[in-house]
Amino acid sequence: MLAISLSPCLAATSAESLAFLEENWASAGVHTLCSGLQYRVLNNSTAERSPTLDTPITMHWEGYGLAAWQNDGSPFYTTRAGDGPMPLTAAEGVIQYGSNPDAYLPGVLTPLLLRVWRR
Amino acid sequence: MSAWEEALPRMAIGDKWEVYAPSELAYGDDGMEEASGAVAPGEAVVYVLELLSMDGAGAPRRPPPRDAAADAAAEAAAEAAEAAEAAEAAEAGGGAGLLRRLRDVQDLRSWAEEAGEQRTLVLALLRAPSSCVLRKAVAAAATTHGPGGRAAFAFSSESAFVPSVLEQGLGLAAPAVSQHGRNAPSWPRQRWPLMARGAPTLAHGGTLGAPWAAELNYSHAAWGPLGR
Repeated sequence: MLAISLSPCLAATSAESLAFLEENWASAGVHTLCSGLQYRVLNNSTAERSPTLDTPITMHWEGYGLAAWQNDGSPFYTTRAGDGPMPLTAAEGVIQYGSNPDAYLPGVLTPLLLRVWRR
Repeated sequence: MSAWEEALPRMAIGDKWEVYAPSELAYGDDGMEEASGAVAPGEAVVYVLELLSMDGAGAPRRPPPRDAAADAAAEAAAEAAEAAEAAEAAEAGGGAGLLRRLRDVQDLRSWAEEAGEQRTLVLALLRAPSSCVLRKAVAAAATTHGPGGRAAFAFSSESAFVPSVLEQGLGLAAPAVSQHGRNAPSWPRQRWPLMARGAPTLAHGGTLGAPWAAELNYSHAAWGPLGR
């Protein structure tokens, strides 16, 4: 299931980025979710509860374009400078980044469509 | 769905994650440009997220999915066990129903010749992270249906996207399980959903065709998808 959902994204993510994700997928310590999102745990706490989408949280975050990240470039945003930890909810991340969700909806749907089509 | 929406509900307070997001889960085909930096259209985004506090009960933390490296290690262990099994079987003089790993087209040709046309043959083209359970099933298929059945597999452990050398040699585009023979079993779809997936797909479209059949000197009709 992992393979199929991650696999041939026909649009959206660029070839270089896909190549990175495909390689990264097999790296030690990297987990891949069905959506294609990958993560590596840098610090693992013992807490047993997670926020839901509407739980108010505060977090530090840094965001890098892949090219910047690979070349030790600077983040396009970081809470470590300026305003400090950011209060938000997980669902707000959608609004923040989904200024024009229609523009990339096909990219989101492609793996799903492929999955159905392959049956 | 966004990267944060996916990641944050899986994190707990104190967790720090490095998250790699395909563009579909980040800025998509539009990209983003701000004074502090830009993300190109279609570019993946790397986030470093550190959850500091939450206000509310939340939900129980979910266990992480299996990671690919652990899968690969399990595959390697399974392969070693298989090799030992195969050696034992060869010593015992049997060799029937041996599950063999094929590296390339040459391997495939000699395997098919050895087996002869009267045998039940099952060929599986697998890619990570397919389980060793599937491989055992392939072997069982050959041995339980008709005497002297043989099974072979070609496996690409690099990634689910990278075809094995054999697949490339045959011009196939998708992993598959295929079989040949008089006693070829039919596979109940409910019990073996992976096995029933169908015939190999050629890189240029269409299913089971010339390159495959020509390599094996078998007619197109002789090889068929499982679970018909």
